[in-house]
Amino acid sequence: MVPRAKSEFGERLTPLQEWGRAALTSGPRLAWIGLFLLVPLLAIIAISFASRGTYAELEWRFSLENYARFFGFTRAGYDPLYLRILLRSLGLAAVTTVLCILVGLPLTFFIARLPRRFRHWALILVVIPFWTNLLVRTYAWQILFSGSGWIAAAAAALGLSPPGEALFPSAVAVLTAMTCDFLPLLALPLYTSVEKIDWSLAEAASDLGASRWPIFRHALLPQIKPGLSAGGLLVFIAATGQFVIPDLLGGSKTVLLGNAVQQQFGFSRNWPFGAAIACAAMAIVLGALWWFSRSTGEEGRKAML
Amino acid sequence: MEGGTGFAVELDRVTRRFGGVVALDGVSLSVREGEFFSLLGPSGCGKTTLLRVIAGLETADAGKVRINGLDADHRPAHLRPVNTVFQSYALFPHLNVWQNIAFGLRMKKVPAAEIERRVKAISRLVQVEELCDRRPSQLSGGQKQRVALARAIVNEPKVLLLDEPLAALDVKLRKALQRELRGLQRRLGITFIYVTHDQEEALVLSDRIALMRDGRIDQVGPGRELYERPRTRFASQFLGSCTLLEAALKRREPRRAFVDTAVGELAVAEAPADRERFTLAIRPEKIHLADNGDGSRENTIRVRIEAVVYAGAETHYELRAGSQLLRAEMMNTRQPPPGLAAGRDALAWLPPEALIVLED
Amino acid sequence: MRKTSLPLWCAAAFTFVFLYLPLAVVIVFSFNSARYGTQWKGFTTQWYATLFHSPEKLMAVRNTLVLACASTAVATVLGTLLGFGLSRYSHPGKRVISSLMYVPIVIPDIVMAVAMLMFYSLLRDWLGLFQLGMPSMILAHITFQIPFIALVIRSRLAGLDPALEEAAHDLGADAWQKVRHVTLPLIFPGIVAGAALAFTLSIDDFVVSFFTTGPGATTLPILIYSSVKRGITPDINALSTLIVLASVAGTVTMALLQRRNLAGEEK
Repeated sequence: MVPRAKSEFGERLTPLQEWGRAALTSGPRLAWIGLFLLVPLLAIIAISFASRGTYAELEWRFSLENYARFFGFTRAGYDPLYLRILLRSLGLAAVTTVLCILVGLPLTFFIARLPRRFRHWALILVVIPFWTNLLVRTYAWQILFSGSGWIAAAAAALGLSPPGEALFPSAVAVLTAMTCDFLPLLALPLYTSVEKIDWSLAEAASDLGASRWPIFRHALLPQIKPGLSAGGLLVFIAATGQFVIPDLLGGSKTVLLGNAVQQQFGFSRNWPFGAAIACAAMAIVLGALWWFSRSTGEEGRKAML
Repeated sequence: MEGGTGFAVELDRVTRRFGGVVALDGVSLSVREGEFFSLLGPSGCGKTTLLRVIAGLETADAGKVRINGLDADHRPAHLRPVNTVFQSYALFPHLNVWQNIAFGLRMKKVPAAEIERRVKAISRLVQVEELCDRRPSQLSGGQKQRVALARAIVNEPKVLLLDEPLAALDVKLRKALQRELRGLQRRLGITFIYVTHDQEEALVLSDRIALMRDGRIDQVGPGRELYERPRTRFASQFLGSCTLLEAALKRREPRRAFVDTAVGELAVAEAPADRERFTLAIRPEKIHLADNGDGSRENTIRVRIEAVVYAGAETHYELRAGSQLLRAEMMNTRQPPPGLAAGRDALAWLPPEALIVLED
Repeated sequence: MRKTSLPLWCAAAFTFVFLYLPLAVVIVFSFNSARYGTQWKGFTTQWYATLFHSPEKLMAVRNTLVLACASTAVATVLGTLLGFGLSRYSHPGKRVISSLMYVPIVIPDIVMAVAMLMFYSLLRDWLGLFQLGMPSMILAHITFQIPFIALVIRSRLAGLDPALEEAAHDLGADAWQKVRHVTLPLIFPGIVAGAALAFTLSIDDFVVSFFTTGPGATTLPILIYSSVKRGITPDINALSTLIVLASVAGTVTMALLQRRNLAGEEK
């Protein structure tokens, strides 16, 4: 009932004093973040409006050319290459999210049913792969999907692909790797919701004669919505901006936003255009976040932590 | 600015607001040195806030606080000669019992030998000597409370503030510790200011009680005075309970006044000079019940017994006279008369001296 | 519905296998005696031995560790202070800064990496500072480590009983004594957990390092990447196994320190 006193001493600091104290502790840190985070981000936005000089140096000429090109309006006519890349990225991200949900739901339910003392460790087991190097995990899929591996053999046996052929680069490989890599990202927030499920609702539904699917849909699904959407959002965002996975497993047929950005900073040396693509990616991410916080509010934000 | 007025703590129109809520509304109070003073009231009445203002953990928006005669308004908590025993004990989990108790002395840079001496003496006084090496997580509720007490007392504060320290303990332990606290306070002679919502606890422990409601002080005085002579409806219902009767003055006489109430004409010992209508209150144990007798004595009314509740040491009676409900209690020193059963009629005598005139 | 049914067990088991498959593969194949390709030919530890003879790889290890230690040290201090400042003092712009703090966590790392790159290049062009290399990498790492640490500290501080700090004051501790004797000891596990987290993030980071690196500043992940592009070799597997073990150690440390909090507290 009694809120904390406003200052360390218990006395009321004048607003000025409080700011002063805050400035002293947070100041340097905020300055750092401001400097090293904000400014680069602003730099990206600024550069995205700049142009590329003849020798690939940066020319500070304001131009919307980069964004136009992104949307397909190149000098050589309409070529929605990057729009296609955008759609492909979003599509793959969406499919990844769905796959993660499909695999993640049983997993989290399972953990929630475990005796209490095992739950913490089960979750740690889920989290550990997530904190290992993404690069390592991704190239491992190259090994797994190689022509002489057993996955390829199984696919051949099922008639899905010619024997001996590697299963990458392909969209399937990218999807598999992304699902595997981002699963923990969904599982953790989802788990916080699943853990709090009130099973009596399901029991009541069952008691009233509902079968498995309706029980899930009406009694359980609404309860886990916050965690589900938070986790799904995280996966979607991560998948949208991915670079490493499509780079190693995707080849030229599965160029995503991340690869496109990297190309512009790599051999194409068109920084402004790369900046434009990056801005587009950022806009999508921020848009998704904004939409998310609008539709779920405080609950969702808490689930995310 | 004078010292030695005999008042340990003085509050002068202290006000504290939180956002739009007024937690303390112009509270004025004086606590005498060496007194066991209680702040009593329901949750949300501001008693804890008041304590924290005295401790320096909160600052008043208006008004003055004087501790030992000196202005304390601008002194931060760590410089006030006041220590607090928190409701949750707030023992430092990363220190053991000995280090907890010694904490305040260490902060004040008291020499090590002296710390050793004082901590030892206090831990013996409060009976936590054998626990000195343990961590708070290894202590029981009662032990934690003692350690919290020791930690505060070892600093020899002028005033000790206690915020519902026994609230988390079970009844038997609470009663035992109440006795100990009282004895401790007497022995040490420190002024205790004690916050509680338990009126029985306040009555048992205190020299004086301040009854609080909605950020204001309702009534201050020794427990007996608060109980026998409550001044407001709230006071009458918070400490014990009362039957309330609306009264209209009929006539005055030298030693009596006569009023009209829902149960008929009653005689009261005194009536307020300035009002014609007022409220009377009477404690349940002051109503005399009889199953028969002469109904002609003044202030005797016919009642119907609606319920009889056996409560161990007493029996409670719920009575009705017309539209008025009354509550009476009788000690079970003897078998109660069989005529006093539910559904029966009885006679109730309300002694004029027991009818308290309320101020609101 | 209470008992965990068999299908659920199977699904969970399958999922765990799925999760650990890549790691297992790398570890297993690091002992593969085949030089090329992905066929299992026999057990050997030779690839681990060769690691120590390769100056290129040793340099990368050194760089990675230096980078991680330096950035973790700075980020821990700054992140702790930030976590403190955000949870304690209300001041204008607090909400904005609070949300701003989440940006590096949520943003795709490539966007951040590219932003850093451009920023440093601009700085180099205008001020002549910051050749790309270790300094720029350290700065970039610190930038994305700080929010993580601040978050950990903030949640730890939030779980702290305010009465403890009030008791410290009441007993005569001034602000500095209070922090030193009460607050810091109590959040210390959080500080260590945050540092472990930051360290792991730094070791594992590829994208940001890739874009902000310069000559002579190759880190392990960058090395692995270029090797993989050329073709997977078992010694890379050995290297990767070591990195994985380091990450696992970091994560487990963090988990043990957070043990008080029930599941779901860390991201």
